[in-house]
Amino acid sequence: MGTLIWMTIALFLTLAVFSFLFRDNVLYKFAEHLFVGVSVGYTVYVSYTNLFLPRVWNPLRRAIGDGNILLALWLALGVLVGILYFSRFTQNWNWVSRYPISITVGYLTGYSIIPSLKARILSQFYGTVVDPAGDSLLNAEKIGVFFKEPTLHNFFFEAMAGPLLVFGVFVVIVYFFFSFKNTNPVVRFSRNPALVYLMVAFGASFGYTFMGRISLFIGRMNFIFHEWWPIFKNMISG
Amino acid sequence: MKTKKIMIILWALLFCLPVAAEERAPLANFELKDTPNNAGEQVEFLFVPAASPEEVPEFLLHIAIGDEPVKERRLVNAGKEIFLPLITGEAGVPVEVRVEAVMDDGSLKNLGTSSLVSRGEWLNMNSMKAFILGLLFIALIIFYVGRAKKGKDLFIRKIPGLEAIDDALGRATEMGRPVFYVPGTSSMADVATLASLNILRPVARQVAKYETPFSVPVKDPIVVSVAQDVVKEAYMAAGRPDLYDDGIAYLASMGQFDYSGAVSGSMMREKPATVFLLGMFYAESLILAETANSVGAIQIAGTDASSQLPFFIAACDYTLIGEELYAASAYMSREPLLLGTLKAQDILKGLLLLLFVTAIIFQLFGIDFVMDTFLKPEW
Amino acid sequence: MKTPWYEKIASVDKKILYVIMFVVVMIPLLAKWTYNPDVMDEVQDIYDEVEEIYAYNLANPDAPMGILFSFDYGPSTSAELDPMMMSVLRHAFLRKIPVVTWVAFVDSIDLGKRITNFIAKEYGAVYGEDFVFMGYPYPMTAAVVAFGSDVRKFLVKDFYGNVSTDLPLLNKIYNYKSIGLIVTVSGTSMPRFWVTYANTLYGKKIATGTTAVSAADFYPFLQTKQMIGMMGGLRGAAEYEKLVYELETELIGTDTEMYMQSVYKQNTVQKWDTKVFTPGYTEEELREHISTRMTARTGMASQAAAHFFVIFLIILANLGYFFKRRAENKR
Repeated sequence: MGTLIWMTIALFLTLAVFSFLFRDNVLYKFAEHLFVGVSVGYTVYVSYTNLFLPRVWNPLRRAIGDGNILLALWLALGVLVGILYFSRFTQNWNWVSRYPISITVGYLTGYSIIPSLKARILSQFYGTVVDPAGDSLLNAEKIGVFFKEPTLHNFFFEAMAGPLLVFGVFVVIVYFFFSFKNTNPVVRFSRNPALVYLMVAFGASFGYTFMGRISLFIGRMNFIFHEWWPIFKNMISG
Repeated sequence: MKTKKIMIILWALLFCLPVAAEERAPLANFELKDTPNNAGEQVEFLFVPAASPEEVPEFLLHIAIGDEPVKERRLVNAGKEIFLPLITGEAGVPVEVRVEAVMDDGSLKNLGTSSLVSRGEWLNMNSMKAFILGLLFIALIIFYVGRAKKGKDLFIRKIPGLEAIDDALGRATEMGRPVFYVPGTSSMADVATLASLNILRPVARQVAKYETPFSVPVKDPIVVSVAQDVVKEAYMAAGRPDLYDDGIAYLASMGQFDYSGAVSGSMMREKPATVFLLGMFYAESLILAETANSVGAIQIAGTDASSQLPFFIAACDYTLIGEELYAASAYMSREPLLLGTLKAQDILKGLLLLLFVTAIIFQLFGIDFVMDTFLKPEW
Repeated sequence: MKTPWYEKIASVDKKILYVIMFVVVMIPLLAKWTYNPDVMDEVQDIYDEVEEIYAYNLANPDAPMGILFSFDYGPSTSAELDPMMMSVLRHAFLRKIPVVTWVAFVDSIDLGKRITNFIAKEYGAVYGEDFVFMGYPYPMTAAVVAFGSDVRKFLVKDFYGNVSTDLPLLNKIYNYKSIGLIVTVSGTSMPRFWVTYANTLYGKKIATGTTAVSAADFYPFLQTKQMIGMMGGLRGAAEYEKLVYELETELIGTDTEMYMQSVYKQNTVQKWDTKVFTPGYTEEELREHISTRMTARTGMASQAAAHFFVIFLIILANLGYFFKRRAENKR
């Protein structure tokens, strides 16, 4: 019975949100506000029990109990810096909140610059010169495969895949290169092919996005008809 | 007599030689090595079996790391090299591995020990390339921002979408219909919002000059006050403070869909001839673009939210794609920070592109040098 | 004047389209059609990697490799991502591969715990020996780096408050050296985070499950093998679900229901911690366990129908646009 009540509430909220498709209305607003409120409340509670207690409060108490004053001071210092965030709520002191922000941002930026450059620039460029097996992307042999056996599969996956990738990377980078005049021949030449590449990419992501949205809808319908309905039916008949 | 004795010993030794030689031929070679480019948290044990699997089916390792109890590990002899990382956790931990061969009859034979103390390096040479690249980038940014601040001219090409702005504003004036400018639906924390407000300034100046009705609906209260300042300043600069009104930039609503509802509503009523949708957008992007399209407005959109770009491209007349938004904003505002960063990015992009093209050309001729030296990431 | 057809279709009320879409989606769902997808390479690669770990563990029973599962998604994308996570987890438990799970966001804690236990229960996995749930490690960067040396020093306790060094599984698997694969299932940019840290710094293999919305963003990482494989959207989930379904049929037969119940009949020993899950099933639970084995594939039938409908609309609208333009040019 308990499950059914909760699930019925979920069903009601799902329908309330979908009612927005008809027009913006009170039910939708109610569901939206309820969601925002509940998720904030939940986050606060979970942060307290799963972060503050095990990572700050308990270690601090333990450190003091063990007489490990240095560790306790260290933890307390972290907490103090963290508390400075709250200065955002004051009029005159809100600049103080920049200190914890700058510490966090500084730490994370410093930490991420090198791996990011490696993972997202060097590796990606490297992967545009050779494939993971170490063969050049402009591999004459692969193009030869197509001429030996001219099928569509060989054309797209053997012969053209590498050159198309290399060319695409080149023109798109030139497209986002702002230091040359629009009349520059390289800029002019790469503009249209770059747009074709970008549009293909956006088209792909558009199609995928559509799929995602429908999946979410299917997920809710699945819930209503395959989870809620059987239980509801059982209760009515039993 | 003495010589005879020596002779006997020599003979005996000679006979023993093959046996001794066999004794000395190791059943396996192994070495404990410090892992390079780490902080000493790990060492490596390299093991190369020399005996055949029939002779020695297994080896037994006794691994002692620091104060931890000695661990035993069996290695099946498959005739292959074995590479075993051992975790020490930190530098300065003594590690000792004693190897025993488990002979085919089950007896154990000691093959010796290898030991070392884990050592940490100051620098991880594997990250050097990325480090230099990072330093170079930061240096470029500082250099170009400095130059821009000094007022040196940094050339940036005009984004084609920007040329459409003048035409679009002119069209609104001719038709006598208003211009709408939506600076995204995010806060000031978003770079896209800043970029958008930079473009708002010249647009507002133009609008004031043409005396076209203007409307800037905003979702974020802080953005409202900034947008009001920007518009006011632009109207002053255009010499038309009399046309300025605090209601030009206003807070439409703070909820995502309330906002899009409110803006769509006023678009339906006022029928703008030109709509700018520049900045950060979320799911409301298509609602706004579609409404503007339905009232027949020319739309100039731009965002760096890659998930919303397809919608804008499909529904709007001109779209500034990703970085073009920043470039447009730097172009129009000449803000040193934006200009300098954009220029530094360009230089780095150019450099990498050059390396990339050279690497690929060299690669065609079978020379890996450029690729391996400059682009290959190492772990 | 009569309005031409192309003007009419351009002004169709959106609500009508919504209703048609609803019907199109509902028919396959209610008729319980299933969709049998062809498995794409990027999904097959993940499956093969898990099988490879299984083969490795058979050869090295005292030093097995584990899989680290990161729940990098919240309830808002669980419709797409739950089936993926469940399928890969089932695969791991079927092959008795040690499983470590954790979550990347505060609001995923409950979800991560529920799904880990839900799947573990099906195979009678024992907490602490076969799998552990580490809760929400914060900050995530530090946790990912901690796994480079010894994660037990960073996460002193697991989610349930057990001391990490007391858990047998964590004494075998506490370092990337014994993690064969990292599975990140996410609707955010977390897979990129895993590539940046775990792959770049430690050379770990990353398998990604992602919502369709972000799938297109991750293809560059597949091309460079920074990710070994990817399940994109419901379709990717359906493919993995199919692979695991086939494996399960091969290993335990088609009567999954009986298998699941038999797990708790044979062992009367109280080896399962009731804090984690209660051994045995109610009828409702049993139905849920069975139905989650085909969520993605039934969903894909509706999905395919919806796609056909939209392709039809796109063609129709473009034809309309074409004729409208032609008529305007004539005028």
